Amino acid sequence: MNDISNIFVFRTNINTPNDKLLIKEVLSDHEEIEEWSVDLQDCDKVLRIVSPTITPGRIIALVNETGYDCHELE
Amino acid sequence: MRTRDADKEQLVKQKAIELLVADGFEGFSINKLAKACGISVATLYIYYKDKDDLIISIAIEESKRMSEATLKNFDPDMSFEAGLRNQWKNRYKYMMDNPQSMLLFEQLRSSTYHDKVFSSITHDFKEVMEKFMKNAVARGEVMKMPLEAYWSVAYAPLYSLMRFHNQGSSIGGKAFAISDKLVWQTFELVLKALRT
Repeated sequence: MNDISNIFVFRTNINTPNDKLLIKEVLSDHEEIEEWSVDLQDCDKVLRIVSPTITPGRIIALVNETGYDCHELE
Repeated sequence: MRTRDADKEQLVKQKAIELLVADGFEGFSINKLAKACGISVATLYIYYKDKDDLIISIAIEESKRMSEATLKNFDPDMSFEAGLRNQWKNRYKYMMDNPQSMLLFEQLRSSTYHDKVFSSITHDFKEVMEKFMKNAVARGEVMKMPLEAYWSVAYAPLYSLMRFHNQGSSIGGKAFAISDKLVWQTFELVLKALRT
């Protein structure tokens, strides 16, 4: 189990497997990101990131730069 | 600081099983579960990656709980009668105490989650049960027979009674409720059939 303070979750519009591929290019090679996943079955298309160092703001910026919405889930 | 709350975790598992049984795997969603538990969607995503991860994790955990309950006070070296009696007692109790879990397992059996859930936990359990049967055969308490034939006589009658009970009716729609007396009466018949 990962330390829960290293887990961040976001509401996005990463809707399709194709969108996910685009996001993969940005997230998979990111050295600060240990694990990431998108729940395409959920209405909020929840993006989940595991990282001990990255900030939520930085993740949002990364996703926005790829052309998708990203808001922290409270 | 978000902390892990054991009570809340238990509530999540219980509600997840209830919703999965009521709505099926298709109708289930993390959003619905969050609402049913009165917690935020974000909290659930801290512990589970996605819907599939949640369903598989909860199902594996519940299967482990069932295996543990079934193996309580059981030893494959027990005499055949004592061991089989223990198995009937444990299985009967688990089924009566956890009707929702039984329904969940039935749903899982016909789903795409089946392999992931059952391959992970059944190995040890199966070994112990096979060892018990082999011991009984080696001691001459039970005739040698295919495992499936053994299982169909040893346990299937109990599951059959449970199915009638859960339906509320037996053959031809006759009203039915299980009772300890009937279970142990059936057990004696099974014992008689299997013992050499």
